Amino acid sequence: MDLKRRTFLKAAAMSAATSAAAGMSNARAQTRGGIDDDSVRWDKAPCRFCGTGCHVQVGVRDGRVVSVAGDQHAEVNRGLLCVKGYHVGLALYGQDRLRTPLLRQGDELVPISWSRALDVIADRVELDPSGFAFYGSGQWTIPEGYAAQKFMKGGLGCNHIDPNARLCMASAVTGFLATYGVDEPAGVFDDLDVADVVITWGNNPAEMHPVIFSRLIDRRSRGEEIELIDIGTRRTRTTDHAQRYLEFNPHSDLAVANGIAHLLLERGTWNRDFVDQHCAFRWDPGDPTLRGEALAFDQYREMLREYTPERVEEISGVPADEIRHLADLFGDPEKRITSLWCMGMNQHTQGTAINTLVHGVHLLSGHFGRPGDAPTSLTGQPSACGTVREVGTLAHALPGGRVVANAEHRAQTEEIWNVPEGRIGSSPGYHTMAMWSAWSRPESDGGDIHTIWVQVTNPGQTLPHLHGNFDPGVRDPNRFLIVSDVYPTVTTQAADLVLPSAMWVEKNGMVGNSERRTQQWFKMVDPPGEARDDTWQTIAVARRLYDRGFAGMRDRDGNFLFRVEDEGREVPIWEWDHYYDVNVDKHLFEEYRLFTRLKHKDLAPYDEYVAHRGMRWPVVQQEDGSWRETRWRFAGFDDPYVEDGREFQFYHSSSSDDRAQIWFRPYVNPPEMPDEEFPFWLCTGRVVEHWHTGTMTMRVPQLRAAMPNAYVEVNRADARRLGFTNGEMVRVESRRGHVDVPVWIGGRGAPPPGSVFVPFFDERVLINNVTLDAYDPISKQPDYKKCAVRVVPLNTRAAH
Amino acid sequence: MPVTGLVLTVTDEDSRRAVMESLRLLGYVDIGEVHDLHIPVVVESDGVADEQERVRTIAAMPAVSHAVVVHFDFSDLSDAHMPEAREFARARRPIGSQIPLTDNFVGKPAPSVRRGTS
Repeated sequence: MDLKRRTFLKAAAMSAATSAAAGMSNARAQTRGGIDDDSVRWDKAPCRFCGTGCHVQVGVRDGRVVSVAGDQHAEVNRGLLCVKGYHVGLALYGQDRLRTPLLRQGDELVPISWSRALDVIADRVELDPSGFAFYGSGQWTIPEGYAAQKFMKGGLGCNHIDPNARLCMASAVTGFLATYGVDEPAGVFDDLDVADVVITWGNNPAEMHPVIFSRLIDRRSRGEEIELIDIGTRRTRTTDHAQRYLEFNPHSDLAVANGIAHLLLERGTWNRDFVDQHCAFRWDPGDPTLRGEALAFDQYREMLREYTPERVEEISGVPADEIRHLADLFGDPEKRITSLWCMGMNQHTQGTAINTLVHGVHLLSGHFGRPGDAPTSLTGQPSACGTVREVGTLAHALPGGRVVANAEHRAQTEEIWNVPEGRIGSSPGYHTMAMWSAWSRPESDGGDIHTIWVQVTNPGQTLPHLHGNFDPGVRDPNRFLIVSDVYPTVTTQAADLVLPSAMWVEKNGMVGNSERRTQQWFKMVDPPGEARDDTWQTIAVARRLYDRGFAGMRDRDGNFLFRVEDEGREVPIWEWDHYYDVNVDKHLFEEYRLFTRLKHKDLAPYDEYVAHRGMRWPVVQQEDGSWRETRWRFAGFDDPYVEDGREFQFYHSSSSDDRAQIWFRPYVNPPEMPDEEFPFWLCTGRVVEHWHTGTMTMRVPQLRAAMPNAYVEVNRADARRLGFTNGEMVRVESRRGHVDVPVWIGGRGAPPPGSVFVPFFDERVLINNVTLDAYDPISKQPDYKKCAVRVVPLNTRAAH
Repeated sequence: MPVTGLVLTVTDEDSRRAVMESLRLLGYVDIGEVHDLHIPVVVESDGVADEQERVRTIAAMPAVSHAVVVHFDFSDLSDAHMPEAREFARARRPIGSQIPLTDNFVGKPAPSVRRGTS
């Protein structure tokens, strides 16, 4: 590298760092964008990875991403990035990117043409459209998910479409629906800038959402006092920053939440005015449901009576005085309290229940709807909210909060899609667990899914209990697996047809983050080889079916379902050479936008998102023509849908009286607990360096070097008792399977005695051979956080 | 060769002085204009492993409470720096068995950064 250029690069890096430092000190950020002196063209994009939605500035030169910087103009991250974010550009350039379609012939995957690949998929659809399923992702962009949704429900008339987000935030969805009658958080990340108390419920934002967490660090560095309480089953980096760590027995978080509510009532420190005006009570007298039955206040109080601090300590292991302290905080109206949670509460066989209970504690105490007072779930994927929850790529849902079981909703959707009346089926399709079960079981046993098309996810690594839910289908010659992805994965290795996909800034995109923020970016570089956009793949298959005369791909007027016109002429977007003649994302988004007004989740026109680093819905147009985002939903001072003069209004209340529901849900034991044969709890999760299954981040040398393989964290006392040493290979085994991993004692996380932790990013160590596939009865989300295992020595050490 | 821009956050003014002194001893670090308790620095590295190690070292300095990377230029990294394709199994997964751990497997995970780059 010549000296002049190196000097320039250092100056650019220093400019970014200085601006970020100044931004932390509330100074004005510097501008980026355009083409710099080193011929690098800069443009904005949200990071590819988690649900935080950090914006990065992406530097491109000679058709290649060469530099990444935190975006100073982005409210979400204010110029900061985490270790994954600043390496995101390198994730494009692994040497083994998939570059051509591959079809299985015997044990080999052999290259074929795109045309042949489209024919293969069309053949599988025509075999029986009702047995064709689509398994998508919270990493789908909004247009990708919308296209897949329309292809399946509007084209095939088949509702078997569900996303991997079922595995990560379905219980958050049902928690919001059960409480407010409508999904997604009322609060925003801004709450963390003013909260006095932050409670992490089974959540480790210091590693999983580090940029969000940095807001707390930054405030503390300015001398602000913030009480951080970490309620968890394992010490993490978040614990290191917490004033209090409340370690609870797995699954007993329900008892902790009930204990707080009990004390609020016993002490009379609940917020009577807020509850009287804005809340109602509910429970499930029978099987768990989303709506339950109304409950009188006195009954609610009576049901909570057993959850005394001492009883809660007995169930949860959390000292009674700590329960009292939590109740002190919630009982103090002057405090601003934000609760954060993610997988710990969602991947839980009582996931809906614990979600509703945490909302309930906030509502009962009135810690809701003021800046800093918010129960906020975080998402793990970049568009779990934008694509899955808002576009509704779930087996029971339609875009804009519609559901297939509702005739009026189907009619609205058929009208917008201009498809014949009755095209959309009225029965929900298979949710994720049922879909893979129906694919894995033989036909003679009711297995009626013959083909699954997977996009942007890796179920061969992430489904729980893989030997039961994935492997049998791979073995069955009548089952067919189509996988669109960017790298070879465990799932592509099992696939019958592999389609190479474009990723991140190799295509246009839009996503929606954890705080209702919709974000947009443009394609900046070409994908490698013959890799192509997932949206194009879906539309091209639709067109192939249309050309074969498949009726479902025609609208009421006989036109192609995905018809796009430019100046009155149809653009053949199904031909790759013409796909970028128009902005297909924009066309799909503007159609989708019509749905968003049906449930007060209004989105702005596409071009508004081009101009902004995201906007939080509902986004409404003001009298002067400008578009205004909303930060705090249901609060009269900010939400445009709250009637004038009202402080709060839960306008989608499931009791139709503008009230939110406070639920009673009892503590119940988990479906599997340690015993003599399998004496340890197993918890699984992520690490800061790797995102999900490591497909992308394991290709980044720095990230791979920093965390090269999976391990099992073992408590020091347990290790001493069992004679384990660091690096020793052990077998982690459940009733369903096993993995062999090295022991890590005193590592990054610290499980308590009787508990172990294994991350799931390593494709060589498929911990989901071990996990349990029991799931929440309402959300259908499985529990990856607890099952019973034993740990036995293999008497070998890992190679160094 | 990677060029990395970082912001270090320290706990107080005494810590800032100590961290600045430590940074000045490192030949590969440029220090920018300090804003309160935030120190902008640029790290030059000779390669991928080097960059990782240097960032870790800085982030782990006593009194650095938080370190975030805000800029990363890798324009001189070629494909040769990326993990080789052979490191990823391409054959059909042997159902019911674990993929053998290859020679790039490291038994003992890398030590964590005490106060990391997150």
